Amino acid sequence: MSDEQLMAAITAGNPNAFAGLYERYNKRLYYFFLRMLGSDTELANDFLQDLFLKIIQKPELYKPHHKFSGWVFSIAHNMCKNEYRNRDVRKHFKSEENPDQYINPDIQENAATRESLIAEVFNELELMDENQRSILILKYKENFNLKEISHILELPVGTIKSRLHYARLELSKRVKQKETFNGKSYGK
Amino acid sequence: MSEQELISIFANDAKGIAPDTSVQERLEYAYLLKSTSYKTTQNSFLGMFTGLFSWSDLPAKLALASVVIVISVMNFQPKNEQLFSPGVDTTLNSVPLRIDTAGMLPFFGDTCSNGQS
Repeated sequence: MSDEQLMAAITAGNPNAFAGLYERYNKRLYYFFLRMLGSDTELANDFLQDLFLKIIQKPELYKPHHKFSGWVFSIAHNMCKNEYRNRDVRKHFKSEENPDQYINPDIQENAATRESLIAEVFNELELMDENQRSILILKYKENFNLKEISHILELPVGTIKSRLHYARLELSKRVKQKETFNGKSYGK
Repeated sequence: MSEQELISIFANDAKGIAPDTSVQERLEYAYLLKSTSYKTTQNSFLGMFTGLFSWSDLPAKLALASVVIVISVMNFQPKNEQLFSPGVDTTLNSVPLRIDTAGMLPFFGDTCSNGQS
């Protein structure tokens, strides 16, 4: 059964439909909230609950011609945006550099180094602008294409493309700076 | 950082994470309550009346009402009081353009007006 069919079953009040949909999306959305909201597990749980409550209480908001995954992530994104608006945290930057210049050619696949790199990347990710963060998660974790991300974030594809470029660049710079500051390289 | 590197980093991040199980329990309870309310209203006329007296699909509703009015006007048959004749065997014949059965040939059913007897 597709997500869209499950959603139609929820609208009709089918008792098993909700469990099926929750099973498919709970971890993905929880991860999204967790990373968007500064790894605050309590807040991520609250947001996940709020999102699914919206689906339960107003299933008619979903229009069947939309792809469910895109629709649900657009709600999740808007919830995070409202939260950020409440917190009033905003950062902006611009750059012309190429993020690929920060690729470390000698990167080794040793588990400890990899874990520390992941930790470093996500520490830095949390310090980034929420728009960049959401684009990186939607692109690299959820594997949405640019068109789908543009629907979710309600922005033109060109804007998404450039924001993705800058987000990669920013993340690469931050990780590189951290490496330099700590006097270590994850690849060497 | 390359695209592949980022995909790999994201894929390996927080692999075992899961939301609190109490969230699912609360949501399933909320859904149970909601689906119960679906059952109580599904056979009622609430939805029909809500749809009927709402502003939605107003042009369609107006068109339907117009068709009903037009048909009513076309079928209008005024009752002509002059055509009502008092009958012999009935106090009042309410069927227009039809004479009293007492005068009908060949039976002359009503004996009161039967001149042959």
